[in-house]
Amino acid sequence: MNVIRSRSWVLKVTIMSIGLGMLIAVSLKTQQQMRSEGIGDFRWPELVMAYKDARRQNERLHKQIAQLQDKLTDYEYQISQGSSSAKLLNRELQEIKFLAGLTAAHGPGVTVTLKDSRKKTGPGAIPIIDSLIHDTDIWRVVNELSSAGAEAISINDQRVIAMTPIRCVGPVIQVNEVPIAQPYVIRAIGNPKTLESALRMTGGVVDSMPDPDMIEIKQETDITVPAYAGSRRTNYLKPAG
Amino acid sequence: MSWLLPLIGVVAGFATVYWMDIEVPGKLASYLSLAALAGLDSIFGGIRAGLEGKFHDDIFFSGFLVNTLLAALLAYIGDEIGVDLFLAAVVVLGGRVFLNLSLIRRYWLNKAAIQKKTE
Repeated sequence: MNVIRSRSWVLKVTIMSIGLGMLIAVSLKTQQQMRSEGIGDFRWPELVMAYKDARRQNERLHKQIAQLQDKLTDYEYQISQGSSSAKLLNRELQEIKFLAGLTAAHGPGVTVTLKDSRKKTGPGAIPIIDSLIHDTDIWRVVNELSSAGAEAISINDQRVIAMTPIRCVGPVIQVNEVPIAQPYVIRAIGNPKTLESALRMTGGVVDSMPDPDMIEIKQETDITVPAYAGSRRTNYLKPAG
Repeated sequence: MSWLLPLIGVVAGFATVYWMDIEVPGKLASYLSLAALAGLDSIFGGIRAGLEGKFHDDIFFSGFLVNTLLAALLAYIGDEIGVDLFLAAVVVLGGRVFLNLSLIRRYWLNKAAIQKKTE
């Protein structure tokens, strides 16, 4: 009797031990996964705090950049108050800054909004990979707009300049030094009709979208494209000649 | 050798889940660890009760399920209202695991001593 009793509780403990093993395995896997993603031993609320801090700091620095650039323009203006040659130089400088995208600009154009498909994905429908907006979609739109004569382009308020990268970084896309997320709003200043028809060309950007709802084009009479707010430092560049 | 069975159970459960392709949101990671600790406490509590001859099915099974869920839930509520109940649960459950382990050890030592005497 004693033996049967003792056996029975050992068996019951064994049954629950299987559950315990599963629990340990799940939590171990989760911890490993977090470690491999570089999250480490942080707990969720701490991560949220760190993220918010970094974001706030980022915003503050961006404001600072805008202020400093305004100040710079002021100084340049003051210099121009001097001699007529300085005036001339400054006018040229302002024009170059304008063309380089270092000042905000406005004019007629189009607003192109790209967002992930809301349609059913998976087997028999749109593959998940096609239902998302990728960096390639954005640079195809930007490329098409520039070739159609757009004079200034911004993506989610990031001005596109000569050295602007548009690159996939995990779930977001990096434009200049800033990660941006969908919906992607691309503003381009130029002839609105030409810009829109360039995107709607047969076999063009709009045609190649797996779901037509992913792209939306609107002609505008007046849109504003912000100035480039990123770093202007060069490490290797020297003027030739 | 029957005392090896729970250990085999843990390894079996671990192996089946570990090789499976499951992914848990990172938000749940700390609560899962706490649930595992509560499970550990229940198992050692069960072994101790069994050795003392006080094992009850209902207490053991309900204890395992309710304690794991409750530990995770309390820690979650603690996080929501800004009280670190996670630490409280770790201290209490950890303490109980050590207590149960020491009682199990004592029981085995006693049994060994009695066997030596009878020989």
